[in-house]
Amino acid sequence: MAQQTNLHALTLAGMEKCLQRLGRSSAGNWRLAGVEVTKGTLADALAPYDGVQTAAVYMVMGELPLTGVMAANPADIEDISKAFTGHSFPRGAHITAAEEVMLTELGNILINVLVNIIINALKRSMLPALPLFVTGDAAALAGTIGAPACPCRLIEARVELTCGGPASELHLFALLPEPIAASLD
Amino acid sequence: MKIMIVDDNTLTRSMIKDLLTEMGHEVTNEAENGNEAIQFYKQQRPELTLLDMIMPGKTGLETLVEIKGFDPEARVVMVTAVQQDSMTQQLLEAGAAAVLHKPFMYAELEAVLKKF
Repeated sequence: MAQQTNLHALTLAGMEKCLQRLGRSSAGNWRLAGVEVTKGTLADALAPYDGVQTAAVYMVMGELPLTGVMAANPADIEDISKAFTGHSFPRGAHITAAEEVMLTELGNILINVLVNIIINALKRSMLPALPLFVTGDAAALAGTIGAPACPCRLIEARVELTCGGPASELHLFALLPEPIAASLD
Repeated sequence: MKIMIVDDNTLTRSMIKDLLTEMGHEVTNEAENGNEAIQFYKQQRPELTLLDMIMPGKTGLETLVEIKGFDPEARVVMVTAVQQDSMTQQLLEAGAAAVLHKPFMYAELEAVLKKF
């Protein structure tokens, strides 16, 4: 069940501020479609991608430990690239190196917002890990990302973006061990 | 102004380069990691360095400290998605002239550059 906690309010405020800035610095319109904070696992977060090919950028910070992920539908890459860079990257059969670089940088920005909200709330300081790119369905993503020890708090944000066409969506989430998350309630 | 861009992401370097060129600056070097940046800095002494924080190998902070050790007058602006209060303070104490947070707007970059 979703919890309206301090973490929820901080995520809402932090993500909205970032998306406003992204809207002013890029070609697209960016909107926070929703924030949800629940108790969950990596498998819960990846459930929508069961059997679905997905492009994801992730960061794992072992010190907390904290995992941040941005997942995108490869079919939306043309719209995402247009919204972020102003240029469409035409879709081919496979994700190209340029698309991977574009998604990695967008993931770097958006995941950092999510994890920095948590790190600042904990009054901690740590250098985030390099963002890494992975493709595959839920099982492949889980195998590469690696599940943190649970129980965890699952902090999810859905970002809707448009750039002259239909809306696309990015799914951001962070997993934080429950005892640490509870200290922020 | 002669500027060096240091970022491991080619797209980011390209986007920043486009903005700087539009503002009338000259990008003299692009480096994709800290070691390259230090080497280029020693060879070329750019008037300003825009330095990413998270890169493979040396971090932006380590690179900043090394550049400032070689040239205490070096003007280095950190460009990073990391928005942690204590980290920003640490970068300024290490000698960064400013910290620009991603995503940044054209006007923010312009305002930072006008300081120099």
